[in-house]
Amino acid sequence: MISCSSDDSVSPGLSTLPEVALDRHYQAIFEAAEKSCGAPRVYRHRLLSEAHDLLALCQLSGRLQVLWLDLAVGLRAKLSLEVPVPCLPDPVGPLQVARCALLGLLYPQEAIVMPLPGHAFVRILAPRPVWLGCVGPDANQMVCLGPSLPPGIPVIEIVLMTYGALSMQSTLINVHDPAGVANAEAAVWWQCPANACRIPLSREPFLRDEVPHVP
Amino acid sequence: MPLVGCAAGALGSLAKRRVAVIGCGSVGGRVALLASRMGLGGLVLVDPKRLKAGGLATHDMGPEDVGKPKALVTARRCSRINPAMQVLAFVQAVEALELSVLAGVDLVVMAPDLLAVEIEVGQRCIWLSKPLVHASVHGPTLTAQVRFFLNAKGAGGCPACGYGKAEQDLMTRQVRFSCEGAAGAVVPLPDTVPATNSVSPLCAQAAALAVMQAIRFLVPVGQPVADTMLEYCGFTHRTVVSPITRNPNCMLDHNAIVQVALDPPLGDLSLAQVAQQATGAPPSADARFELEGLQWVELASCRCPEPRPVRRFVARGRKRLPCCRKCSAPLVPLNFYTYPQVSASVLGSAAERPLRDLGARGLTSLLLRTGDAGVLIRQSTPH
Repeated sequence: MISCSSDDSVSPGLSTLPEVALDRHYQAIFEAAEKSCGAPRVYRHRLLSEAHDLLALCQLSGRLQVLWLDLAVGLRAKLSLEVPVPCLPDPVGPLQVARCALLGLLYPQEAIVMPLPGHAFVRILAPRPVWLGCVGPDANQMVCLGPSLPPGIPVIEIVLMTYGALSMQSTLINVHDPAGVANAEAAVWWQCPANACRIPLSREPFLRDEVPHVP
Repeated sequence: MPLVGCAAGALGSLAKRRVAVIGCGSVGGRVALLASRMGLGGLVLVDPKRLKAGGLATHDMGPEDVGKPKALVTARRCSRINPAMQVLAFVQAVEALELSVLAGVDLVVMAPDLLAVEIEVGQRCIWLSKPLVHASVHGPTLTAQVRFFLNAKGAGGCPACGYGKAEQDLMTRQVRFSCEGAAGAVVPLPDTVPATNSVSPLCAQAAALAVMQAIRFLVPVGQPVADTMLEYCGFTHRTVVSPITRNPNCMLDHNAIVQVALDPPLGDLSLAQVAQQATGAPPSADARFELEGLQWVELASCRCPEPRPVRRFVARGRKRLPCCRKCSAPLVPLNFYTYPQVSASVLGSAAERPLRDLGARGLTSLLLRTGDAGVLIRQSTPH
């Protein structure tokens, strides 16, 4: 087990999440979720591992918080993610950038064995209305992370992809892309040079002590 | 027609049998037509797709059917062949099919073009302990393959038991094993390689073998077909039969569910009462309920700043609910707070209320799951 105290010789990172020892707060969340886990045996171990890694990521990053976690049917979590989120409440008004997103994460147990559409996993519960090509304009604000995601994709991958999508570190604004966009109007808006110059909204890596990749 | 080794009129027993065919394409469509001619009592057809022009090379359908849903085209032909047979056609993905539909058949035949569908059907048949026949072809080697999974108490093999890394990769890329294109007349879609590119006689052969295996099981007649793989080679006309075994590391849940029929109208009972009557015990903390055609909506959105509580079952796919009393705007169920399977912990005190008060008045079946165990609860008589 790797603890997260600063005097440790091994620096915990994304590759060592399964070995991270959860602190008391996150351990309590994990144990409560474990008790309610209703998945069949074949999926149970995997869902618990995913829940552990998600909580470990919260513990390491400081920018992610699990507000609620339920394993009764698949994995369902309400997350608070510190990330710039572009919003356009007034279509002709200025862009507003929120500093935090409240995310609804759904990870059905079928995702372990089957590819699911990229919009099946994450909803933005707040703020509203998010103004991005990859976020649906309706009340559900589904985040589209691609045409489909591979079976067994780890939950933390989905969280990292969501961070990249919201901060526009990875973005899709081409409405003619075969993958399609969830909000064509927003995609066109971001193509305008005056707006495109704001991309990305943040260059900060997910883990703050990570060295940003410079091509 | 008398069959050697069988009682007179043995084939007549098929009139009491119901078969589901998943995938009504080059192979599955022919399976349905052949099954209709065998005097089955009922046929359930499932296919979400429409016939494309390129499909005429292999499908047993005509140019007049191009653009029409394959399930409907096949259903109409089957009904004309055997007017006494009840035919139900579902133009939808098998994932959206209620479990109770397959619970009512004696055998399932599948001939899909996606591995993900194989997995979905395989999983459902394991849960329901339904015999499953999987018919497929491989064009370049002129091979027709028919696998018969008995699914007796989840003990035997399943379609996913033989999956390895290659199948995982094909599934990730959602490769379609389309029979179209053998004539070279169609432009291949992305990720259709390696397509089966089969020829029509091979598809017909696979369908005929699949129906023959189904008859041998249903009558029953001949050598047992349970948990076997039959392969036919078009180059040599040789057939090889080999056993199918369970892979202990299979990715699917190999636990069968129990089926229970309850007499009182389900709408008059609460979910706690349903669980008590079906299992003899109140629902445990990890119990989950899946109601046929319904989903639990916890919160919905309107023009109000905060989401509004709904806490009712509503029809799946319903996009709008009655208007909000505060802002008069239609309530839109929020996807994150909508539960196709709802746990006892989310239901809370609603588990004690009669289902009719929760929007599930005419409910006819529901699935109760607790850990590895599952119970499909159906209304025994219509009220």
